[in-house]
Amino acid sequence: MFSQDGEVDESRLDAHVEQVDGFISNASKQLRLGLRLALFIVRIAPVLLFFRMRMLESLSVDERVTVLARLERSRFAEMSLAFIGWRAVMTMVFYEHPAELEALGYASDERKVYKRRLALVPMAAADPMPMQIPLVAVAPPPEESGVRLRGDADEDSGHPPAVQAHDRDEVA
Amino acid sequence: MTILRGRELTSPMSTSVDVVVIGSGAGGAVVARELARAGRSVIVLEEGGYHSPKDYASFSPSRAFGTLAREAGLGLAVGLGDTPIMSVLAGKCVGGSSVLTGGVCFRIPDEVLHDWSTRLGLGAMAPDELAPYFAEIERDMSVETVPESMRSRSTELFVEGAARLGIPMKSLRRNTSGCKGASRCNFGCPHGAKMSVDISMLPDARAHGAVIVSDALVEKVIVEGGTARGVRGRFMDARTGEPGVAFDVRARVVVIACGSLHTPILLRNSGLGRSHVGRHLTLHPAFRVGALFDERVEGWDGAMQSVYSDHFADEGLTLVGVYTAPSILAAAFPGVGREHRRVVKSMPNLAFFGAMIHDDGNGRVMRWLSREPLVTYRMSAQDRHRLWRGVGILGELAFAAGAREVLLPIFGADPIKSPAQLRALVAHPPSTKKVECMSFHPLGSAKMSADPGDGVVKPTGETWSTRNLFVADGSVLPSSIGVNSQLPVMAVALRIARGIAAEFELHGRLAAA
Repeated sequence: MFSQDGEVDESRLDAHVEQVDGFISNASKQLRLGLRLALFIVRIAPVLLFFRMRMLESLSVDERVTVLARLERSRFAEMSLAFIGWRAVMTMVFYEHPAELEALGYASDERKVYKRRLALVPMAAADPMPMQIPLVAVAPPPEESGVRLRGDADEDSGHPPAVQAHDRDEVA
Repeated sequence: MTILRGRELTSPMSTSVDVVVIGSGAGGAVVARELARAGRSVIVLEEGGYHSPKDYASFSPSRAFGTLAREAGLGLAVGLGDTPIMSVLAGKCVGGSSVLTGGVCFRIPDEVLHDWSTRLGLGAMAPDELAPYFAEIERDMSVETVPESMRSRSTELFVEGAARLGIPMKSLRRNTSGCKGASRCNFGCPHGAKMSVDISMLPDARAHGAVIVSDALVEKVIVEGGTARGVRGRFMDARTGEPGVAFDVRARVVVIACGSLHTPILLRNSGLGRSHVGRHLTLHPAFRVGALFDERVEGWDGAMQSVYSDHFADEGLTLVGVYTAPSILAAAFPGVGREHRRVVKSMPNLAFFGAMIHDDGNGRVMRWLSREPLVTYRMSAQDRHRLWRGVGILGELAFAAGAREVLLPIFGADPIKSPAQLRALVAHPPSTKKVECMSFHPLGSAKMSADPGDGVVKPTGETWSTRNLFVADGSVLPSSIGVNSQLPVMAVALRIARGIAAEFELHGRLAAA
């Protein structure tokens, strides 16, 4: 998944497996059971998709990639999810590694662009005292309560269209 | 904040108080603070652990999810019919889901409140009735508009694309004070700048005498003669993480605030499973598209969420600018092996645009194999239409902003390289089951009703079935609200708490009877 061209150190991949295991151990028994089932589907994917009587781990790296790519695109969503779920978990943990984040240019809490923009906010020239740049603006009382939802109230019913949608469902 | 850590207690505990609050999230914290301020003895029992902003700063995203979220952030709603499996994020820590939200604050739209107060007969939930509660919470939680300087480049591209299509964008309001734009809201604010309730409400409750106990799993509400008398449970063992030492708390009033996923479970475990308990769950299905630009975006540099558009609210869609930790984004990227790695390496050039559905769908929360519930959800035909409409809008918006490629939230889909390709896909979409969907706002599983036959709780928050037993969390909201739920939950909880405080003598007499 992460080292098709062998660019990731093997010891790091071993540590990664441990980290994934540690992460999953926080989930409930039923979720871990589901993940085990998903892993089983991934392992027998060569049988399900290519009728090859071999487990995934016994294939070469390139063959595994082919099988997993096919699994991801399976027309059976549940089968795709077995792989996608595992890929999500493993990817999330893998790309937390400082070396990976550094390679992406992610600088943790160091907010470069944001700070640069703050510095560009002009000071009030007439103010004799150096003004602290406000990080936030106090929110005025909203003119409306939130987002405007689904148009104006229907004149005949007196209800917004959202109500009609519910009613339609109930009738159906 | 000083709290009692249940995991450190080695002998059974038994105590009596005026009010026991189960859950320390947005609902429970407000109730605890309000009743403590009213001079009542209050104990808050939270299943999760307690962690400070210093801890949040040291957590990686996976560590934060593993420590602060239910199911390590891997919780799911199983889709029934042509419905995607949705990830459902909910907190399990002191502060609950408020620790994990983006801090976005909306009031419940007037149209929704109008519907509740007229069609559902909940007059107490009319816009004018709830407005003072919203105002009070907004003041206490430091709700403020996100300034433009806080926008990430990803958000700026979202706004630029929208402007080219004539879609107006507005600045979001969030409960923050001194936000530094670390884009880490979902993992607990490392700077203590997000006013989650562990930072804002619970310390105040504590200052007024409330006792907050972490690692305390409530297993049952004690009911005698149709009146709630207290709760029973066990502290989580520090070594095994499983329930260990028992406790019981006698109280004149019991308030359940475990959130929409666990309030129904506790009610059912307590033998209070009326027909509506665990039903009517709404999820606000959310999705995002990735947009690949030639320029370096580095969307993690700025506020996680800062703009939204209600331009398509008529169609049940809200557009939201969104970004999160690179590792979380990478987790949803398509491909295998070097193909997946290629997409991840392009992340500095990727912007993300999101949308949320004001759903008509219907879900259910049920007890199952472990303490965690089985959640199912069936999307309505309208919601499926909204979903594909939303995908189409976000894709068009990305191309309008100058994106070279668009990554759609469809499992196994190749990147889209032109608007024509996008339109063709949306015109003939694949099965909705293949869409990557998330939910951050599970609501409505113990809904409020004007009639005992229509819901679980009265407009006062008291359950129809049991005297002195209240529910004060998102599960009481009687329908989907179409906006982020933190502020609505808190305002409704405040209203419920004020009602309890006003009628406390009556509750006390009932408890003594």
